[in-house]
Amino acid sequence: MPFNQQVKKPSLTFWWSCNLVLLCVVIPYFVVALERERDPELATAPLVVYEVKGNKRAVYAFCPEAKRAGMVIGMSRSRVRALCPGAQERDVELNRYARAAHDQTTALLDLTDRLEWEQKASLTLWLDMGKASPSEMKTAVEALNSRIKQPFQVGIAKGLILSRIAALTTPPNKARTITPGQEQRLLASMRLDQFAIAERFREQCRQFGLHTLTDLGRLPESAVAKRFGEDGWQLYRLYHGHDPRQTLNRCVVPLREELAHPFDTPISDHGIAERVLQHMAGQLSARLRERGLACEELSLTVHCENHTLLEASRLLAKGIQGQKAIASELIRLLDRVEVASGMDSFIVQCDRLAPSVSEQLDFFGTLFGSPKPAIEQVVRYLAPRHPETPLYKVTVEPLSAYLPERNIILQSVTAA
Amino acid sequence: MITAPATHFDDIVADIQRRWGPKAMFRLAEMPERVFISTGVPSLDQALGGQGLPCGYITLLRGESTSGATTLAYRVMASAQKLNHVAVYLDCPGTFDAEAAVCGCSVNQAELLLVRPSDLMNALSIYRHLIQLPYRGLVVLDAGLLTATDLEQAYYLMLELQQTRTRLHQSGWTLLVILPTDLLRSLHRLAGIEMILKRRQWRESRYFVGYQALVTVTRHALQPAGQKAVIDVLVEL
Repeated sequence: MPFNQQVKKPSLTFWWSCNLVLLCVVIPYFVVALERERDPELATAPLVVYEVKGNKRAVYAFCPEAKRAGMVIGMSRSRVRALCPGAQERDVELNRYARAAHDQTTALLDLTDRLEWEQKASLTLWLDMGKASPSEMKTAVEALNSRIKQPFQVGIAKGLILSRIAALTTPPNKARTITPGQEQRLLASMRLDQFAIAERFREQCRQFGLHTLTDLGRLPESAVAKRFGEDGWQLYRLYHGHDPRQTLNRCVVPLREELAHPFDTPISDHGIAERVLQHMAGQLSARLRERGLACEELSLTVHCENHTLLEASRLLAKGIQGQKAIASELIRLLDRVEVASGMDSFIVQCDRLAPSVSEQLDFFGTLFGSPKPAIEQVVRYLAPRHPETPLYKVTVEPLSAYLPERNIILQSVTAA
Repeated sequence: MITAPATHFDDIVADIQRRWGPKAMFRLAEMPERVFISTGVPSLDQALGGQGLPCGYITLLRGESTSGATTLAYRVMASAQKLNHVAVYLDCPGTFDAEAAVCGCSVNQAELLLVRPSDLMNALSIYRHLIQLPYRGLVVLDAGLLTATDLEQAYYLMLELQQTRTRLHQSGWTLLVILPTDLLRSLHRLAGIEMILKRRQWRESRYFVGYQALVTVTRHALQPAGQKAVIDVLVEL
């Protein structure tokens, strides 16, 4: 087939492969562990958590003992009672589980801020560790032991799915690393129906007699792209070691910025208090800028000399990030509280942090009036993002600058 | 009675522009004029509608080796630099001729960034990052040595250009892609302008040695295609 008439392959959102390492943590019985933590009496009894659907109940989560009895997710209550008559039953509390999952995620944010999580009966966390060295990965896995109370499994691989499969095929409290090249060995025996694939693709696989990933992976690339749609193409690429999707950063961190300023001796001068608040606003602004965030809620707490605590907060119409804006809001808050004695300390909290301006809107503002760009600015932007790509500036050798035959040199440039 | 809404409209526009920047909303009459980059060849500019290559579009320069596509790209870079645009040359095959660019085509070396990506995918990744910068600039992606056997790279080139086309159009950047004549013909649908260069005849005079190349505009997003122009390509001064 001529090259130009090739079949259009399905679109992939992020296609380029990256050398980043993903650490996947699976807490398999997360919901059950939460229920048992709240009610210690359930520690030894078989436990089933039900999801209420209309007037019916279906299994949402269960303990390892119930699993051994043959229980599966979605099973009806009558079937559960037949299989495991002595099981304790609880109704699902999704908000509580989500809060616990969020807390668990937040506890890991100092390892990396590129973190994605998925919570159902189990909790799965993907930590994008960047280009971490093996020793750094080992430290990270050791850090997990102190921060996760429930039994967990760890998988380390290049892609999201691979790392998850690695984690699921590991004994509790163990880590499994899949190095590049080992993907096919891990995936070889996996059945295609173990993946969430479209019904049409499932039917096609049945017709063609494809049962495992190996069956699919051995087909010619063009045939897979032509016949098996996006699911087939993605699984084919997965088998050949390509899983370039990135973590989705569902958790924006930190969720709060706080700054305290105690005074050596209580102050009562309003002017001094305003200067201090301006200084604090500067510090907060720098922190927010560093993270590309803006705060949508500000609160000021004043500890007074007479042991009273004065609080004022303000929900802002739009996120603010600059020092001037934060300072003026803080001064407005200070005016609102009625200070009757000297002030011992200020505590300022920035809540409801969100990206400062969405990318698209930010784009509108910056194009106009942007200064004449210098190559150095472009280099400063590109070099950290592509550390292995050589960047050059073209220069004329000074001695030959005025000669007819000028010597041109390619001078390597770096962000520094 | 319904009052004239003009004043309110002005207030709304002013408020939105104050909050989100002047490009967020404006009257059609105040729309900024389209910027064009001259090709450095008056006859070709004429063939392209009088002003050159429109900014924010993908321009494809197709031609085999020594067809003059790279030289034309150098000239466009020099013109872009005169408009204070950043010029970035993504040199995938590693064949950038600095002397020809600086001495032959007047590229300002101080304002040129040369990138030698490891492969086309790396180059596309850099391109994706570049067009996020809030500057006006020209990216030249040299994929002139891409062959029909580089199936995967060609596919990713098409995919990337498809995905970033809108983003490029909104940004201040322009993309110039150098490609072989017969590779990825379907790319012309994504391009604002496509030109095919063919070497025509050698010319040798007292002042220069070189050849003439025929440029045919096979696609133009803003006018009918089909115009032709001849450019001189110097080999030796």
